[in-house]
Amino acid sequence: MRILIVEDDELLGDGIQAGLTQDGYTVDWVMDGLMAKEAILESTFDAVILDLGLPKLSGLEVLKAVRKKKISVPVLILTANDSVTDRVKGLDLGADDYMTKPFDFTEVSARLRALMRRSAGRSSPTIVHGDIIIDPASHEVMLKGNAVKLSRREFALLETLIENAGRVISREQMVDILYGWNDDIESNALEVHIHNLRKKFGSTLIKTIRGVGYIIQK
Amino acid sequence: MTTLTHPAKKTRADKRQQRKHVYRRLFWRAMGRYVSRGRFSIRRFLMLSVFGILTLILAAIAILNYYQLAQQNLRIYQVQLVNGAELLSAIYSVKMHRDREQALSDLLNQSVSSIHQAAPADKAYDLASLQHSQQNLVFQILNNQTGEMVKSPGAPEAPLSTHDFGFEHLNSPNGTSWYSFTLTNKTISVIIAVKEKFRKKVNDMIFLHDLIIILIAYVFIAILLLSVIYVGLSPLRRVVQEIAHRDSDHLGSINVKKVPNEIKPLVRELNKLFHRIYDSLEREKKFTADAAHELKTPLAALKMQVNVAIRETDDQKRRVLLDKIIAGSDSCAHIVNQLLTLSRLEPEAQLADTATIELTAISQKVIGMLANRALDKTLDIALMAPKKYYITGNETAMEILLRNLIENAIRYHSGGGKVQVVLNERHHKVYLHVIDDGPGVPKELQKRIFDRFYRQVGQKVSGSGLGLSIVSHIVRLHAGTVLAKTPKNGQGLEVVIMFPTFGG
Repeated sequence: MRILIVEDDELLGDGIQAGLTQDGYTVDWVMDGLMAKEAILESTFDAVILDLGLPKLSGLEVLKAVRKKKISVPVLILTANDSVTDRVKGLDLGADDYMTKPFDFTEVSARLRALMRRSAGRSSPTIVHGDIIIDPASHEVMLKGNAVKLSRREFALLETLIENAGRVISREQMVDILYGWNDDIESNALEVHIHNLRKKFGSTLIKTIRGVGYIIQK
Repeated sequence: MTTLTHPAKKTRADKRQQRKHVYRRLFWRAMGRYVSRGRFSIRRFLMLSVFGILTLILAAIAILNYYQLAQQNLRIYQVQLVNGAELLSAIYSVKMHRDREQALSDLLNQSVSSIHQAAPADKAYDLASLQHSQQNLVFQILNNQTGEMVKSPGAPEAPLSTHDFGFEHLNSPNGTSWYSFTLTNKTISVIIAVKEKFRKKVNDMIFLHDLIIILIAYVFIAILLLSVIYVGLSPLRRVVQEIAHRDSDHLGSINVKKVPNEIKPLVRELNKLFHRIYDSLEREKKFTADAAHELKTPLAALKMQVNVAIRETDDQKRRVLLDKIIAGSDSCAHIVNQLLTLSRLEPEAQLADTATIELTAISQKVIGMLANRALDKTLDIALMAPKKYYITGNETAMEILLRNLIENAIRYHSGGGKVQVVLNERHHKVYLHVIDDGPGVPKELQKRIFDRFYRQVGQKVSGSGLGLSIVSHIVRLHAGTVLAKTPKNGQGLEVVIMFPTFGG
């Protein structure tokens, strides 16, 4: 798999190149926007890691030029600026994902993999969380290798919680998921479902954050 | 404004009133635009106004003068005509023979021309001779019984006037305008008249002299006044010069004593502004210095760990050191982020983009983001907010505030306890509490923790020392108060923030 790194800082660029090579990719590295544009237009890459603050041509300009030519290579933006407006601008101009500096390389690696998976067309891989494997396509759930039987609502709640692991899902959001099934909601329907999930997966999986919602830890 | 009982029936007077209102408003709006477009100049205004007033006044004087001269001229001629008529009448009342009448007339004419020859070149005589030589002043003496007339040369053949007595403006058959006086007694009528053209000419000559004097005065007054205005406004120019010659770092006060009273308040305020800018610049310099200082130590620590890692031969131990290095660089990144936040907030004297914000929702959002970190330390985190609480403020700033408070509570906790966020309302004030049962802060230091870069002595946990000063600043921007205290159960730290609401 061929990755292009566009980063003008020596140390950082070198580090990312080393890291990606360790991961087993073939890595090319350019240090300014003009060279980046030429490289992307000429050769085929499986993904591009693009820093925004570049000499000669800014990262956003490179992105604009590349998308204009209808090149759909997945682009992950790196930026020191964490302002929402800049992020939105990048995504609107055609980036697929962004990361702020400084970052954890493991996260870059994971996001890169997700990007390339998405562009390859495999949009629903299995979700793994510890001993739990969820197959969103077949709605099958495995715990420690054994299949677990879940109602449709229980599955929806579990899937949402695991997909958003590390973030609290509010009561309202979870009730919305249940409500989507067009049934009348009993006042403590949510608590009942959570209780059932805890029985099946252990009481430590889903944590209650009083006053806010529920969370599955990362 | 007139009150109308029938809004449809607007009288003409009301319409006129309305129109006047509209014009007045348009006029002031135009004036305002003229002033605000920056072309307004006191000097130009004064000069134009003075010039205008002067012109108006002197024009009025000139006009009044003309009319007054015309009046005087008439009176003088009236006197002259009457005198002449009476004289002639007196002379001719004496019974005379016909040929003697003619001889007297010739004699009268002769004497005048001899005056003319004998007179020195003098304007007064010139005028008189002009009057006579061009036959501008004439007389006719009518014998009422015989109808015969004795007249001066230049007088028309027919009697000018048909009246017995009095002044008249009339025209002779050949079109000449005359101003005449008629005197009649038993035997004769004396008519004496002056050509209007000549009379007007005399009038104009005198008026011209007056006008020249007025114009000369006008020019002198104008020059003097305009110079005075120009000189009078020169202190302004001096102040401008003084400020224009300053360097950007010269923020000292302008000497107020040399400045005219009208500008003293302006200069005083400028000086105060200089002072404020100077203070602000000093604060920024200090902040940058502090920030640089604060980063030196974590960076030094990082470098130290790297040095040790290089020398470590054991793979396992090196791995541990490298993890510490990652933690150290995270800490640097955290400090930098806090500094950025603080530097964006510090210059603000007031909040930008205020709106009505709801604190329960914001608390839920921030706790939602930080819950994982709390759980990783086996900290139970909870929100106690029985309802929605609305205040006026900035949502982003409030998120930053909550994030810093909750992060603080989590960061310094050794683990296995709880963090509570509580919202309640009393007497139109909303109270936000963040309570933890961690190590807490001794009572005597509870005020100091909000100081910038303050960290407790012997604090092992890494931190920037900026979190609570950011909190304190945001609270101030929202017109609230913040304090730190020990919770009721004596363990940990409770930070209480009070926000005023609409009623309070």
